[in-house]
Amino acid sequence: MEDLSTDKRYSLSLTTPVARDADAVFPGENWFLYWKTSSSLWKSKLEEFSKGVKILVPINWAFHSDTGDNYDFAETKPETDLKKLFNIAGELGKELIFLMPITPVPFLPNGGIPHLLARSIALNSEGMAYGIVDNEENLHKLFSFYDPRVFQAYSKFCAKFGQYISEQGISCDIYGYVSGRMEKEEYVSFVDDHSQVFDQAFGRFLRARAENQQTDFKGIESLEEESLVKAEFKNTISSLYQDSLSSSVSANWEGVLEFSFLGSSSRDLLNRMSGNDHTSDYSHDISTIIGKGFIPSSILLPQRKKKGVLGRQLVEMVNNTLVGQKLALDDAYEREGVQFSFLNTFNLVQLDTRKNKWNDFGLVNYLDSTYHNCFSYLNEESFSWNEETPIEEQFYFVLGRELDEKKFRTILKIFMNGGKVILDNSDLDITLKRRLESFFLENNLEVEKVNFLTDVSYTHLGEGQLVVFNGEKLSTRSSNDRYNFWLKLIGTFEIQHIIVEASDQLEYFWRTRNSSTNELNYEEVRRVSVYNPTSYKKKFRLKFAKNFALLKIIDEINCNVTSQPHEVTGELLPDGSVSVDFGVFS
Amino acid sequence: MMNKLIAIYKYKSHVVEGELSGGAYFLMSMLSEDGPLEKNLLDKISNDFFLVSSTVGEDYGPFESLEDLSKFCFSICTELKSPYVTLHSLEEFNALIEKSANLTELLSDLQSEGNLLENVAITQKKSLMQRVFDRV
Repeated sequence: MEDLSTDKRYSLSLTTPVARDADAVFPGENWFLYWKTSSSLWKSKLEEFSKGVKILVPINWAFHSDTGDNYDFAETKPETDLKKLFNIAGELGKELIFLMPITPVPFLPNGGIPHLLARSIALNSEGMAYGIVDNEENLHKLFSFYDPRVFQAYSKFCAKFGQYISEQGISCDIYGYVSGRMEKEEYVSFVDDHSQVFDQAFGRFLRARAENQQTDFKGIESLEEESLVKAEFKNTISSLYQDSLSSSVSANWEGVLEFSFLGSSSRDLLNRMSGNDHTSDYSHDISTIIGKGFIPSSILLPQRKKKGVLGRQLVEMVNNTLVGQKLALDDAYEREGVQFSFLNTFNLVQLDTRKNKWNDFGLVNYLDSTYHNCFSYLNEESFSWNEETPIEEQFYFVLGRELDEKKFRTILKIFMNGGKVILDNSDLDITLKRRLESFFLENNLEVEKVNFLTDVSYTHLGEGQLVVFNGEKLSTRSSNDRYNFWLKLIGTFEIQHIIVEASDQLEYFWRTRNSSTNELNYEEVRRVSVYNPTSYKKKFRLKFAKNFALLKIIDEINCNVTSQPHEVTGELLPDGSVSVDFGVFS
Repeated sequence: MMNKLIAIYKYKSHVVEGELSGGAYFLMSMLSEDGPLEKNLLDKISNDFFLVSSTVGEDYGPFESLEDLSKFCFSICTELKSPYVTLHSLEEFNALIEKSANLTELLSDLQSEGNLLENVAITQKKSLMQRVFDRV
């Protein structure tokens, strides 16, 4: 048996499980579910949050509007009084962040929509109805957001909510939030629907599109075309929900957060049905979710699952690092400072999420083994040029086929400002190809060409470096060859990094921060946190070069760590974890 | 006690030049008390069935008839020495999802409803043992 805390779900429950506060009101990651407790207890509940923590408050649409036509903001139920909640938080010096759903949510009945609107159950890509198990083993069904009635009611609710917060002078930040899960290592939003409701809505979209284009509707002529048009339709609908919210709460609007809920995938449903959901799976999911740029949420998992190493991983990686990082994206003051943020060196630009070309090129495999959890994906929104973003030690991997004029200018700006760009020129638009060649000529850049498993060219301008390679040719090579290609290529950049040798299923994360006033010998401080979510003893070894200095070993739980010159070795017992800090200097 | 394997299957129609042209059955998932069955076990049994393509995506098939699919599921049942396997179409499974308020109800319905196949080699063997004990 792999997981110490697994319990077999093979008998009918004889007693009704009693919900405890830790599961009900504080389900995880600083979320506060205000409707789950009496408003007279809000003050004592909010006091339990640590100082400086941002409290995430998801707005429960169905709680404020049970039919979709009437609204309750302190008219009937005291627990709908968000103004009171805001005032209490202010008195206690706590900061609230309101989260408004822009997709179905997995932790509420009917996916969070008023029950009278819950008519058409949504289906996943396999045609299976969405049934999500929450932390109290309730089974929540999700309903289609492609139902026009749902959208109409949602718009009205947003308008009413916006009016309420404006009139009441509630000034806290409001984010829209997307709920999703990882399915086979790819993020899928719960708005994804394959039911008849979706098909009917898509049909209407096609007809309207044809009318707009004033052409005869000939129908979709290929699967590829259908896939593209469906993606366009889904983005259109998602934008409608988002715009409905952002325009209603404009003064408070801060953007969109994307959460991935542990325990909500199809695999998880089957595992949870038989009581075989393993901590190690969730632990690995946290790595995947963070790497893909989403925020893990454990609120669907019962507290007993989060008591040990998984709970520590969530607190250290999500509560204390990722959430703060995501909420401080636009705040340069908050970003600079001595808080840890994830060490992210490699940025893989992936605009078409239907296929991962970086996987095909062998890059993901290489980065995962050598720079585990030090890379992330950038999508349409996050891949942009920003003068404030420090890019000198950053690598950007870009697919030529996904470049348009604007993104092409972005990669040149990154290159000219000291960043490293690795560009796959397969299917690069011929105009952009010529532009690139002109750019080299105009700037008198020396281009070195080499053939190592594929065509590679290299140039540099100051600190900036640009490598162009032929990805399609590389993808025909064996997996060993592809691994060696990246080993060789990335090795030429002489990146300062500590080699980690870790047993299978150990999870580890790198974080970095600026050095503090008493650490001025160092340019930065890096921390590696290692977690063993399995039921077996596991080992790890850290090998570091002369420009790293071991500072301290902390938070040792069920582990035995020894240090030697340029090496730290550790043995983690089941449920063990440890963090190690290094100073970095030139 | 979860003494039954639970199988979920679906029927996929073939579309040829925009027209429906028959279809086939696919096994989507098989659940035991140890969780979803491992792929290597299903692969081993599917080889015995000489499936032309043992997997389409994550699903096992194609099976021309429900009877063929049932035989496949029964082979798994025999391999695992399980006394029963219940088969649910995707539509039946979805109906149970809609109906159930919690995980316990869902699991109970999955075991008690659906098309039940009995592995008499196991169930009758138990009866025999009971008879022996009764005599003693």
